[in-house]
Amino acid sequence: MNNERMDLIRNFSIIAHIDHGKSTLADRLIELTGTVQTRDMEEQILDSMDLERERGITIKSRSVRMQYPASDGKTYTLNLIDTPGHVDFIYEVSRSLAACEGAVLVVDASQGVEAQTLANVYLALDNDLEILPVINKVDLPGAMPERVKTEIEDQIGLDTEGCPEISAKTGLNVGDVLEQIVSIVPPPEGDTEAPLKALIFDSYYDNYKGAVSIVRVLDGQCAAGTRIRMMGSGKEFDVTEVGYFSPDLVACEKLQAGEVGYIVASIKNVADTRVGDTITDARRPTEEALPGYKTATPMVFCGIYPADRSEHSDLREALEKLQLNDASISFEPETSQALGSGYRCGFLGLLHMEIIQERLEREFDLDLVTTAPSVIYRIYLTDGTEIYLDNPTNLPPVTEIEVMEEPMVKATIITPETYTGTIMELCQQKRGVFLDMQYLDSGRVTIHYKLPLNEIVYDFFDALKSRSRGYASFDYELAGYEASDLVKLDILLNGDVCDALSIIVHRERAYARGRSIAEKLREAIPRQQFEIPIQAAIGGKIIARETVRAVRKDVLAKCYGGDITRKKKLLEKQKEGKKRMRQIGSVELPSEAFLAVLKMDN
Amino acid sequence: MNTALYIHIPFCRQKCSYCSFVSAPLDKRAPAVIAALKQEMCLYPKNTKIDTVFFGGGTPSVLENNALPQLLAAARERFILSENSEITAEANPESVTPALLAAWRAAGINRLSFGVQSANDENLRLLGRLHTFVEAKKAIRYAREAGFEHINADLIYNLPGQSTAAFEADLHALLALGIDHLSCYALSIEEGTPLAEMPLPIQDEDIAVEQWMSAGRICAQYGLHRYEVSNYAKPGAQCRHNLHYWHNDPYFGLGPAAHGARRANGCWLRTANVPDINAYLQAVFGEGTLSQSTQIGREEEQFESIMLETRTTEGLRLAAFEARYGVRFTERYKTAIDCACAQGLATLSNTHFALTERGLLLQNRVLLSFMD
Repeated sequence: MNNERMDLIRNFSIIAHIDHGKSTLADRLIELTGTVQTRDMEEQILDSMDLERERGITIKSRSVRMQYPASDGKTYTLNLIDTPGHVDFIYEVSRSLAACEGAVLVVDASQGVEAQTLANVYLALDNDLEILPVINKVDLPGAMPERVKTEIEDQIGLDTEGCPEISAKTGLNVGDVLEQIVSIVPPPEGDTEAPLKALIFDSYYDNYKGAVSIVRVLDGQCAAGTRIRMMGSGKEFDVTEVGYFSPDLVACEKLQAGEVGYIVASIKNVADTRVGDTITDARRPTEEALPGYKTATPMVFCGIYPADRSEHSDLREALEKLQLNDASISFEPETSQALGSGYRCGFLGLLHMEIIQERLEREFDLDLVTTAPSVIYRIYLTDGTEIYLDNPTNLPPVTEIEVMEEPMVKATIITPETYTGTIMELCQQKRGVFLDMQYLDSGRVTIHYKLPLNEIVYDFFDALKSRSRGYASFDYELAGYEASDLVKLDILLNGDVCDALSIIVHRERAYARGRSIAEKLREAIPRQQFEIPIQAAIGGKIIARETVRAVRKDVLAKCYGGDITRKKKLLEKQKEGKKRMRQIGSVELPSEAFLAVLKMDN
Repeated sequence: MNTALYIHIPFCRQKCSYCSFVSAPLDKRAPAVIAALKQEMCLYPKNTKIDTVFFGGGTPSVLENNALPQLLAAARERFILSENSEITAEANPESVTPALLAAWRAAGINRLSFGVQSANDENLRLLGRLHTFVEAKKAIRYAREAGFEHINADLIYNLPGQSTAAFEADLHALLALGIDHLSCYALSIEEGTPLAEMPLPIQDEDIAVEQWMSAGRICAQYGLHRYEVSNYAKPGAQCRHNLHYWHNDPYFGLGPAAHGARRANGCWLRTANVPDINAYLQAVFGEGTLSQSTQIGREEEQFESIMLETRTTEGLRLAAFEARYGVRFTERYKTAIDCACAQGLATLSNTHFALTERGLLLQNRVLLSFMD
């Protein structure tokens, strides 16, 4: 009986390189199975964040349950988990894959196998998933399905015999994908009679329901009324609701082994539904917890401060809520002389950082000031101690430093051959060390470079994209620490060091960086009633200087009867802008000034 | 307290390239607009004492010779115009004729304001003006011949690429005509105007300041003194109508897009008429909303007074402020006053809080501290 029900379940993910059409395929599957009425359908239906739709990327994994009447006459329950495609979110992908038995691998018929395709495939293989390759966008003029199939066979080693050639956009052959999911992806295994064992692979906070855990049930069952225990924390809760996504929440009687769904148990504290934890029945607990997930290691750090100091506690709350959705964010309080109280936050990568900043601003309506991203430096002090430093401000005096080391990465860049020269030039500029280069069959090249992480956290990805007209893809893995001649570059405004603008750079790059930051700041700082010197300095030595001239005229030329309202509005706007300024000594600094440090010329 | 009357004539022969005000080419709606303006007067309390009348635009001089006299007659019928009222009409040099000026003079208009804008024909073309400087001189001569004693000219400075020497030459050429009032504005390039689309050199703030300073100096040589940020007059020739605005006194605004301010049921009320001519006609003669009013709170009204009065070189009149609001200005705004004075942007006497020359140029900055 139980096995029969399980036999009709298929849990799968869609994995792909960014832009290869994951979300569009998910849309078609949802439409084809009638999960959402056509008239209610919108593009990227699983990407519910505005940010995802705008950027056309998936940030959060999302799941949906679909009913599919297959050609064998039986109706199957398909649980689809849509996953992010960008390298920064690979952690998110790995969590989702642990809840599946199979993965649909989408490959763009004109782009072929890309860096992220491979990375995702390896993840899927690590999780023992059955992989079903699908060639997408075969309707486009540049489509070369045969060549892409060969690539999949050669580079990934997957059999492409009978692999569906589809257009997720037009719906061409998408039915074949559903059929193959049923025939290739194995049904889940598990014992509905055994004690409850469910993996939390995601969670989020709902204002009405509290923390919602998204789970894959491995054994047993769970229903409203079940008293559950979080095996990691030992905390117990009474389940108030279970259900599945369709794609909105649909409550159901119970969740049982093999199924994917959500559990609500009026959990107030976000930390109590830790992703990776195992849920069991408190009255009849399972013996062993699931291994869970390796914690994601933040690689990029920056200070995040509320633009309005009074919003400090709002920022904390927002970070806590986001952390529930995304356990890979880390944050701890820090204080800057310039910016007051804020948080030093750690991210998986630059896109991740950018996305979190945007989500904080949009979803929580916060105005933020963000400092330049930093990496973690390893510093050996003369007294023999070793410290890790994620905030340039805290760099000990040079005299106390024996050696400074910076994290390195091994970067893999895949690009059409044409752009090899300009990309290598970029890597050299960023202090890269060339490792090797392989020619792929289709006029593309894989280039490996060893690069300091602190060079790529600024604008490397953007520069790469612009130099390759968007064609190059980029992936990196950490490659240990190396000693390096690093210095702290300070920025002085009107003679005072502004701690939030300090960065750590390689000595050779310090002059150029200092000049560039000073110039950018001169453009970003509005004229004030006095002249403001901007200086870049290493130690006590000034290496660049710019001046913001004093404002001399700030008055509306005309102001008569009709202009009064308009003039008041202008003043209110000016006042609003002033409120958002940071007082650094005697200088007022707009939030944008902090971005000046980020924007580098190439 | 007397009220000022502003009448907006929303027509021009052609819109200037820097203009962001409401105006349309003169068309057959003009008689209807004049009728509507008369009608609109009836919406305001009868027998209100009116001290100054200002026909602005647009270009009032594009209308038929008898248009303004008719409107003035209607105003005299509805309101009580004081004996020595100041009645100003704006005019563009290309559209004034001796006959028009004679008709205006006979109707009681006693002050003219010409949009001269520049003494340089090339700049006039850039600004989209339809006249040359020679025509402007001719118009001012006609005005004198028609018996107008009080003549203002508008002049624009800080034009793209304009040197201070070139501006000073403009100023001399204009002041030599013997006008008793000058409004001298920095060009501000507003979004959406044709000028904003042109690839022009960036206007330099320091040059603007230099030209503003030289305007003050050169005007003084001709006996005109700065009495407001952008206005200069011979003794006794200050524009009473505009001083009315700067003293935050009540005024009725008639016509499309016209603004007004008055006290109604104890509340300070700002009104703004619909900007669209058709919508305006519709509202006056048929159905529709003529104007939007906003109630201004006490604190905000006080701020308006500060914002407006500190534009004048005389400064904010402490006694008038206290009489109007029952609040002692020097106590209520002590911090802001001290701050402005300490920075050399303002001075405080027993009777006035006035901005210094540097303070006038940085008036916005001074005002910000009054907003706390």
